[in-house]
Amino acid sequence: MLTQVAAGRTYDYSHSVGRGAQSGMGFSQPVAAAQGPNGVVYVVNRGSEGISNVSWNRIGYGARVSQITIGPEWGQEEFLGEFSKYGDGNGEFIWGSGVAVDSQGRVYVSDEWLNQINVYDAEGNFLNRWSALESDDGGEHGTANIAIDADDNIYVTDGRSHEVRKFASDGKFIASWGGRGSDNGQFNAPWGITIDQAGNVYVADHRNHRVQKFTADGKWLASIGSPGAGRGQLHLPTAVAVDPQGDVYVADWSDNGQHPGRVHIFDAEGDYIITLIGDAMELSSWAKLTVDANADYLKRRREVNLQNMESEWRFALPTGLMYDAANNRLLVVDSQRSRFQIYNKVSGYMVPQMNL
Amino acid sequence: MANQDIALMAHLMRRAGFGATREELEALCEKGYENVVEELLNPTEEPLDRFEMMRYQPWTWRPGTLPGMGAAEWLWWMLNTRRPLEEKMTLFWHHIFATGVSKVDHYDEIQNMITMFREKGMGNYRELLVEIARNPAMIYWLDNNENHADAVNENWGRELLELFSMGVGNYTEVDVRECSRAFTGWTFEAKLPRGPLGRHDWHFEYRPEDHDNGEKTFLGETGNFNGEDIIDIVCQHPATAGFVARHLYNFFVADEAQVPAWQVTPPVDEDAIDALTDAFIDSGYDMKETLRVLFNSDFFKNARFAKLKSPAEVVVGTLKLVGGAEFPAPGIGDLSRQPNYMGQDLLNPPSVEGWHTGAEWINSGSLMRRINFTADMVGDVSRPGVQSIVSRLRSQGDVGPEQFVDTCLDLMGPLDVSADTRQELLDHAVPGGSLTWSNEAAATERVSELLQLIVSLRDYQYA
Repeated sequence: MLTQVAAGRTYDYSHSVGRGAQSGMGFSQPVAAAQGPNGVVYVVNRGSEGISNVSWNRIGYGARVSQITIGPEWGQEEFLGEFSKYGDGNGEFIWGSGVAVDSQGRVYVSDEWLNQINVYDAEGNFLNRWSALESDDGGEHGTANIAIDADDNIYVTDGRSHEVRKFASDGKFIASWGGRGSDNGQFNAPWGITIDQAGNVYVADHRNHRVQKFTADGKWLASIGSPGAGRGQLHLPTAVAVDPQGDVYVADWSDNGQHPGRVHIFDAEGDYIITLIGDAMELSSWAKLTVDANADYLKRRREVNLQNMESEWRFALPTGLMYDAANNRLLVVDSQRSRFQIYNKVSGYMVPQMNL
Repeated sequence: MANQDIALMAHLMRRAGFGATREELEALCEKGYENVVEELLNPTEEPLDRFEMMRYQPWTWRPGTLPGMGAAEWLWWMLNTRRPLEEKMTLFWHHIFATGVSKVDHYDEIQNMITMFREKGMGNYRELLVEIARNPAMIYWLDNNENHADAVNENWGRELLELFSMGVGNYTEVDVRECSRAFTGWTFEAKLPRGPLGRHDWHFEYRPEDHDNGEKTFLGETGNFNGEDIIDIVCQHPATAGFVARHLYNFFVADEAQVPAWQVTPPVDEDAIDALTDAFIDSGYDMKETLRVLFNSDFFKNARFAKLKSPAEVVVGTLKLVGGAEFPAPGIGDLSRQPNYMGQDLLNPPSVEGWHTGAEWINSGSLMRRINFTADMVGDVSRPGVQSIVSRLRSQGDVGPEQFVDTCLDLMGPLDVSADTRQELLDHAVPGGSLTWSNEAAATERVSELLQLIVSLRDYQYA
C-alpha cells in the first residue's frame, strides 16, 4: 500500500532516491544519514571490501560520505559532492557506521572498526578526530552509531561492549551506561541511536529486539517493542528515529515477504501504530538514468513477473532512519538497495469513500 | 589421556570438520569416539546467524562479481560453525556439483546453492539430486534453460550422468539424449538485472508447454519420463552408489585417482568402497547413514595423513589452530581469497568436474602459497592459538631440544613425521640448546620459529 492510514496518522509513500554507485550520484552500502542545518543530507557509505591486484594493499570500494539534497518530489534530488574514503588516516574510515550534525553544522562520522569520530565542516573538510572510547581498555569495541543533542553533546552506541557513551562536542568523555544483558538499561549489541526534542535518548537494542528510551544522563525510561514477528514486534532492530509529535520509527530485519526489512511505527507511549515494508514501485531518477542507458536492462525488466518485481520494491536490510521535521517525512536508508525510500507524514488526509 | 586417543580424535576432526584446538580435542576425547561421530552426524548446536555477518560486512549479502570475494561469508561459516560435518559436507557437494561464478556471474546464486548443501547435504541423495536439478545456478551453469522440447540441450543431462551420479561407461549417448529430453522445461523465471539497485534471486520454474511429453527410453526403461523419474532410475542404478562411495572415500578417507580415471583405475580400497556402497543402498541413499559407516570403519581410522589437504582445509584448519579470526573483521575478503591463491577458488571451480585433488593440489606456486600463509599465521605469537601452544610448552618448564620438538609436533596435530623429518627439526633445535623460560621473549621466538618450520613440512600438508 502506498498510503497507509492508522491511529489518526497517514503515511504516504513519496519516492525513492539513489542507486548503486561507488562514487557520484548513488550510494554503496549506505548505512546512515543525517541532515544539516543547511539542508544537506550526509550519507555514510560503508562500501565493500576489495583486494587490489597486490594482496598487501587492502582497499574498500565505495566508502565515502555523500552530500546530497532531497527535494519534495521525484527527480528533485541533487548530488553536491562527497568526501572521505577508506583508510585510517585523518578524515578516513574503515567501517563508517553513523553520522550526525551539530548545531554549528559540523559533521561527525563514526568508525566502527577504528572506534573514532571524524569531524568535518559542512563542506566536508576534515577538522579533527577523537577516540570514541572511554579508555583504551583493550576490550572489544564497535562504535555503531552516533547522535547529537540540542546542546551538542554526542552519544554513541557500542555494539561490541554493549553500552552507550556520552561525550562533549570536543570529544571529552562525560558518561556511559549499559552493559551486556537483557534487563532494563542493559543491551545486547546496541546499534541505532537518536534524540527526541525533549532530549531523551532512544537506542535500537539490536539483539534484544527492542528499543530502549533513556534520559540524557542514562536513566532508563521505557522499552518499546518486543521480540517476534507479530504486530509491534521487532526482530533485530537497526535504527530508530522520533518525529516532533513523539512518534517512534524503528527499522528492523524482520521478514517483509521478500527480504529482511520493515519499519515499525509506535506512538509516544510505545503503542504500535503501523508497519512499512517498502514501496519503491517506481525507480528513482538516478536509477532510471542507469536503466535508460542500457537497452538490455530495459528489455529484461519487461520480462519479469510481478512476484519478482516486488523484490525491488521492498526494503532490503535497512539500517538507517532519518526524520526530516522541516518537511514532515521519514527517510529510510534502504541499505542493500543503495537508496532512500521516503514517506510523507500527511496531515489532514481525507479518506475517499470506501464504495468507489 | 592416551596420545592415541587424541591422535584419532584429531584425525576425525580434520576429516569430518576443519580441525580442532587441543583444548577441544581433549574435551571430545572425554566423550568417546563413537559418541563424537554421532554428534557430528546429528548436531544440536544452532547454525550460525547470517545476520551477524550482515551486521558488519553488509556487502556479503549479495556480493558483486568483482573482485571475486564472494566466498567471504562461507569462510566465516567454515571457521565458526559448531556443526563441522555439516559444513564439510557442504564443501564435499561443492566439489561434486561444481558450479562457478565464472559463468553464472552471480555469487549470491552460488551462495544459495551452498546454503542448500548445508541444509540438505547430510540428507537423502535422491532429494539432493532433485534440488540440484531445480537450482537456478546449476540450470544456468549447464544450460538447462536452453533445453527446450523442440531443441534439446544435452549439457545438464550429460553431466547428471557423467559427473553427478553414475560416471562414464554406464550409459549410452542415447541415454544422454533421453535424459535431457526429460528435463526440458526445467528452467527459471526472469529476474531483475543487477543494476542499478543490486541483485535479486532467480526462482525455479517448470514450463509444461516447453516440456517434451513424448515417450523416452532411458537405461532400458520406457515411459513418458519427467526429470524426477530419471533421477529415480539413476539412483536405482548400481553404478550410482559406487560413484558416490568413491567420491566419499576420496574426500574423507584417502586420495584416489581423479574422476576421469575411475573407469580404468580400480579403487585404492575396493572393500571400503563396497562397504560404503552397501550402506548407501541399504539406507535408501541416506548420506548420514553412509557417513556413519565411514567414520566408524577401520579403513577410516587407519587412514591418518593419507590425504593431501585441500586449500580450504589448509586455510580454515590453520586459522582454527591459531585462532583470532572468528570475528568478521576487515580483511575477511583477503582471507577468503587465500584458498584461491593455493589453487581452490571457492564458488568458482575450474570446470563442472570440480577440482582435481590429492597430489594435483601441489605445484611450486601453490606450495609456496601454502607455506607462506601458514608460516605467517603460526608465526604470529599474538594469536590465541599460538599463545596456547606457547603456554603449554611453558608449563613443562625447561626442556631439552628433543622434547621441545616432540611437544610442538604433538600440539600441532599430533603430527606423525618421518624419522628424517624429525631429525631435520632437531638439527634446527639442537644448536639452540634446551628451551628455557628465563628469557620468555627468546623462548617464545624459538617456539614461533619451530612452528613455522613445522607448517613448512611436507607432513603438514596431509590431513
